[in-house]
Amino acid sequence: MDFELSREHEAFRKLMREFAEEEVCPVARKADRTGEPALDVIRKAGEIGLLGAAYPREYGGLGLGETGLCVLMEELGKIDTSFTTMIGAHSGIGTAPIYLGGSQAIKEKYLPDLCSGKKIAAFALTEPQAGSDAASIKLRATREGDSYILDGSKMWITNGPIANVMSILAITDPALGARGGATAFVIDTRQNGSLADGFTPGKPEHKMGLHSSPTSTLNFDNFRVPRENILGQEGLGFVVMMQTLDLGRVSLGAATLGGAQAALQQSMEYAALREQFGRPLAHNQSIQFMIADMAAEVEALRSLVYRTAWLVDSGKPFTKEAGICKLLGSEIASRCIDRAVQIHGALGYSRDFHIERGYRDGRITEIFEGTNEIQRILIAEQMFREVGVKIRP
Amino acid sequence: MRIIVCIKQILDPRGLTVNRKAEKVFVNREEYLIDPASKAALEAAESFKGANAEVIAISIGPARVDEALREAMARGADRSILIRSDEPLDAFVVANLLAAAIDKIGDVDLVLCGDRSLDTACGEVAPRLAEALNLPSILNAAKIEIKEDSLTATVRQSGFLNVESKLPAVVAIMAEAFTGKHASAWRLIDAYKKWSVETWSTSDFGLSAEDLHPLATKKEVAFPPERQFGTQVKNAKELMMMLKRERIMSNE
Repeated sequence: MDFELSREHEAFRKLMREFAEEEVCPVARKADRTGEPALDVIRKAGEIGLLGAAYPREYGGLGLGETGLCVLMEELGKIDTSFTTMIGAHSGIGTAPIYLGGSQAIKEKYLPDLCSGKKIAAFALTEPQAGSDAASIKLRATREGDSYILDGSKMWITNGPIANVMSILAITDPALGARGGATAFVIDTRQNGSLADGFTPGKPEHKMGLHSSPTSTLNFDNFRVPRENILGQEGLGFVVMMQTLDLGRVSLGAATLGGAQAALQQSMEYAALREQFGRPLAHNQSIQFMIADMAAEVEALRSLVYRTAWLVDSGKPFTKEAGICKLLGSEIASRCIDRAVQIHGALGYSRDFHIERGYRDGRITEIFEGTNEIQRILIAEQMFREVGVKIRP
Repeated sequence: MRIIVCIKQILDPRGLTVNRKAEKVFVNREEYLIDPASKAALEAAESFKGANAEVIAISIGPARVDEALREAMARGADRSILIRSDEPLDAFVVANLLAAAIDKIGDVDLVLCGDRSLDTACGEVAPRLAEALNLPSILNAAKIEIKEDSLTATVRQSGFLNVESKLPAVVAIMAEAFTGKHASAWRLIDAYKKWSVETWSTSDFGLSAEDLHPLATKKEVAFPPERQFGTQVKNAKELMMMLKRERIMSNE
């Protein structure tokens, strides 16, 4: 058994940490206040090759697999959840369907520009009436010669207002619905710098946190997609999207690990410096208990996340573990940031300090990419499947 | 054109705690990085790569320095050489070893070093290296330009001045010249998966025992006396008044 990352993964972690601390950290607070996404920083990350961590070199990536993506997400997660969310939507779930389901020509067309950050990706599944119930999507794709015409809308799409490329699921056979009648496509939502014909993104949503990670509705009206842009098989798009979400849950677990680790680190530093009653906070048992609980949860999560990444990279089944990464990661991160606010006292509540931003930003991780209630159902389904019991309708 | 960049790997100061009362420096996290001045030298070398320059990074030290040399390749070096030594070395021995390695490589047009490392800040290696190679040296350089067989450097002294030198030469680049450019992740992975670091030994060059014997040895680490806090001034006017009061500035 070997728990060490490879030398290239460790070197990548060092580069990623340097990038996050020197490029993301200085702009994070301002981006949160203004709501402007740090597009320059995304461009810089792309120029030096960080955005293609998971994908093979032949497509412009680094060939570091899911473990590489987890390293990237963990290091970014330590600094800023908004930025991490944009990158997760781009490098993770936005690009993965193209890699998993695209033809050779489609992969060669799209992946190099996505790995180098020349284009930004989004993952478009959720609709107004189809959140946790993703199979209820209504966006229609109607065949017309060698193309499909998209009509309808998507909702709560991360990177919606800034993406040029989207992986999207639409109904091609209403009689069959999502299971057998839904097809995934890769679409270009911008052409020559302008919005593509038939595509209109909504205004960025006003959210509790993630202020600099733009989220919007997407509206399609007579939007044309070439047939070769189908990802996976026609009618089986739901499979590609679910495989993508499985992968996304692992890297999201890594992002929450970064957030939890940062909350622990900052709490320790503050508890060592802040003096009350003539001694540092760290000397109080109540503080020690909180630090110990955070450390225990962070260490457990680290083992879980990287073991799951190893399952993915080894080609072993990982659906159950991916769900646990997302479920446990988001809840551990929420508990850690909550304790960090408590340890920092009034400073933890101040908008002039990073802790408050982390508290607002982190809450969404229990909701997006499958609520934690859905994760529990998926995990239970996998558990019962292992003993031959099918619990889903 | 062949450019040698001498790299120094240092302990990451962010992993250190200085305890003034105990007069000790504690290493909480033992991580190493390329010294910022060496990064500046690498960046300067990389800027000449368009002009068909071959960049070779060299460093001396234990096995862990391999990591710094692979990062140097990610930062543009075409080749890298580690002179393995587990012994504590001073600037004299380092300069002798580097000079011998540079002689062995041969046909070198330019040698770049960091001017002053973040850890010891002695600034001795570059001038000693120039002496050992019998080459002109330019220290504290903020910027360099190459014109055929000569170079122009902007050097910081009390102000900035431009100096010229024939090539080959040894130039020490100041850390402040580093623009903060990151390594290429693609090259970093290649540095581990495709490329290798050549390993040489200190005995490869036929240097005498005297050349390999440090002139300086570390006896103890002493802390400078604690300084009193200065006085904070609110604005330039107040500063002027204070300087005049202390007779640092004249009253005219």
